[in-house]
Amino acid sequence: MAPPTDLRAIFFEEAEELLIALDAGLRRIESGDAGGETVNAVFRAVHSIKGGAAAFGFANLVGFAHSFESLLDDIRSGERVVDAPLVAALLDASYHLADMVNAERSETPLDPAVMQHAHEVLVATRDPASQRISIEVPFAAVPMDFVPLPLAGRIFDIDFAPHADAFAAGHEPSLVLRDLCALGKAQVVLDASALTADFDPAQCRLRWQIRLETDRDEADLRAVFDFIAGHCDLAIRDAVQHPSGDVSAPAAPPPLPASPVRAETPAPRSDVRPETRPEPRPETRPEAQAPRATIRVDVDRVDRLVNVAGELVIHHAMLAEAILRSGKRAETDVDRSLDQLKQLSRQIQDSVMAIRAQPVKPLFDRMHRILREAASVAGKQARLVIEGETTEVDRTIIERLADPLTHMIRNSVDHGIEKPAARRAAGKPETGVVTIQAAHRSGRVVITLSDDGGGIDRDRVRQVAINRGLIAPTADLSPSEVDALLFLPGFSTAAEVSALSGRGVGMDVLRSEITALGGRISIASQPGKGTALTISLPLTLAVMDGMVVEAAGQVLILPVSSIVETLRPDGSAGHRLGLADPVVELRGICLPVIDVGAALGFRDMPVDLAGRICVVVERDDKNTVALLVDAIHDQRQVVIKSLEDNYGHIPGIAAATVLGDGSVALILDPVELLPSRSLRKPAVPARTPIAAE
Amino acid sequence: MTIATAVLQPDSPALTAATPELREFVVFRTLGQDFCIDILCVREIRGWTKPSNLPHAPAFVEGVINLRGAIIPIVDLANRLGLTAIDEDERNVIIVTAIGERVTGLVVETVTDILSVPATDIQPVPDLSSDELRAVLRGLVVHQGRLLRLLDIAAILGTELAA
Repeated sequence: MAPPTDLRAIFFEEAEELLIALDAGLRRIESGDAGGETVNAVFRAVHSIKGGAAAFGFANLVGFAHSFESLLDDIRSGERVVDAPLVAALLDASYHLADMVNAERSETPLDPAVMQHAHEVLVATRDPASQRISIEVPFAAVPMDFVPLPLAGRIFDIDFAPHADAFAAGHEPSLVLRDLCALGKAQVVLDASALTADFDPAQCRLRWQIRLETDRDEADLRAVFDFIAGHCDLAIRDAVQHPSGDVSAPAAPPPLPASPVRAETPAPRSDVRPETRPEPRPETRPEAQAPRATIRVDVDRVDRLVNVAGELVIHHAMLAEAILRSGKRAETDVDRSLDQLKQLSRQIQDSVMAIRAQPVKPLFDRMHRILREAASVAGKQARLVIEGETTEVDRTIIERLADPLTHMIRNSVDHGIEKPAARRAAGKPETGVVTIQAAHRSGRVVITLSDDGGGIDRDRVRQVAINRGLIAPTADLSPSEVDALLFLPGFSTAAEVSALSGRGVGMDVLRSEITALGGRISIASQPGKGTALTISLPLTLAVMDGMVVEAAGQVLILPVSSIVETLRPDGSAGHRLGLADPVVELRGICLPVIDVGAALGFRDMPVDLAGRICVVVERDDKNTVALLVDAIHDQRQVVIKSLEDNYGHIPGIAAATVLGDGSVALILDPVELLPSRSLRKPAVPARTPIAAE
Repeated sequence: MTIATAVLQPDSPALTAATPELREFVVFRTLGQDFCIDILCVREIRGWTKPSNLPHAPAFVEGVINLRGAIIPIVDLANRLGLTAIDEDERNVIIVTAIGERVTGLVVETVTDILSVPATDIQPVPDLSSDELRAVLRGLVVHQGRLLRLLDIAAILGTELAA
């Protein structure tokens, strides 16, 4: 038997998934899909959390979930029309539910006042008639059915038995049942006892007993059966009004959605109560989709596997070097085996990374809440649009993206989106749109967060920068350079320091968080149209393809993903502008040359181009530069090792790796390697469109 | 290539002989001077490996080496203490220290002893002209006619090495 702590852990894991499903369902309702299955999914999620919580005795959670469930039940039964305030209330309730689950998990109780308030709001959201349901009733471990709503009208018991030839005559009992259910609240019970093992599917052997609660009279009921009347036995009679509890079911859609062979129902007396009925145990109901076969694995185990796979790559390289040194490389058998080993270790590496890769969807979905809360504090209206949420990224990166993204969303709401009145004046819809977008681009993940707000107020940014002594008053800055000032430490333009952002630790902290992930961040803005922040990240923090180069006697690694081409300049291709700025001509275009050895301080004077190799690399913004190295040794997969754990960040160096001989080689960051004066180049046009279509 | 590695085992005689009043130090020599550091900071002592250079690093950071998959910086202790740089020599040794989560290698000429010293035998530091030394010295120990400078390893390596 698993110890209780394990069961607890499983409950919280499942609760987390259920909360995600709940959020996704509410999102669909918010976007207008308040269909039966969506509401059901939401209901199931809340119900399952309640059930689990009851088993662990989380009384607060159970009470709240129960009220939540009751409200959802009103929607399901059609008592409540879904409108914007209701959706907002549902979302708030789901956030509170998530908070309560987290509180139980971390065993830090929430403020009782907060809980009571949330509960009261939830109860008040239900219509007065339903408020008679006491939410104080402690939830019993046996899930209870729903207390019926007081209903007016008569109750009929209907026996409906189509003749065997009903199908042949073109009748469809499910349509009749559907029409019948439209008249009121129906409880439909299928009697399939006439079915034998060798029945003829062309003949109808089914009969139904319907208890219908309606405000219509018997003639209306009989009208439903008009067409099939010649091919069925029908009995309609008034039922005795039961005190309560029995006729609990709200209206139901047809029990048998037209399926080709209806008589498949094998059970002698199976209950075909349709899916929209409140089920005490949702787990027993067939899910809309078959669950995918998955296993839960402790993240630590996967991480261990990733590390071992990384060591495998290193040791393959060591083996290859050892064989090369022994002179046996020429033997084709050895060479082929070595090659196969390389393929296999790469496959293992890829598979392991695939295990750890996760779609960004859960991370992005969390941002809905951040946006909502930020907007309500700032007195603004905004909604979040998510694109490319299936993009997969290594989970180590996803984990560390949550804080920067939260920060970016809050910034967008706080500084980007205008107040509703200002938006109206600018001819924009009052509700601002924040778009978060993920995509794979040339071996990196690019995440763009854009808003349709006012854009960066460049004059103000400039003025603040001058006031704080960040730039000289006479500085002549291009628009993109002004935008880049926002990333300077201690810069904040918020006139009123708000509760959300604007504490002056904004964008520079954001940038260092992204840089620590091996990523880059850039900003693009159009006045009046909005601002876009783009972060570009490596797919994984574990391995990469690298080109092994040598400069000034040091072995260095260049990321293959950034390399465009390599060339060996002849004497005529290299030029020097002034004393120290060499350029190389490549097919009529002049590229700036950076001597890697000199840029890293391994060599004092830049050397001549002749006899050396230029590696043309591309920056994120499509700028290309030529890096001058002394030699290219190899191209291989390298395992990324952090330099920052034990040392710190070095400009121009992304990380380090271990080579085949056990020595350390540094991995270059071609973008940071650029001398600072390259910032003075003409601004490049923004790659990301600011406004959505 | 083999690297001689001496990992200090907790059951080594030097440790088991310790009594609560005694403090244990690793004693080493660099540029002709004797130093000691608290044994609890020391992870292992290993043979010299040529470090890979680090760009834009302070002069006392010789570079980084691979310690079983982890990348650790190597600090020339003599240079860090304001003495001249140690000569590059295959007979130098690296004392691998751990301050919190941070692992750093100190390159010194030779490790001579593991010493148990009663806490009362540690003498205070006299006034020194060198601020560099004063900031990192915690005391002096005279042992068998040798003057051992007791170093505060956290003060030496506690700050970010990267400039």
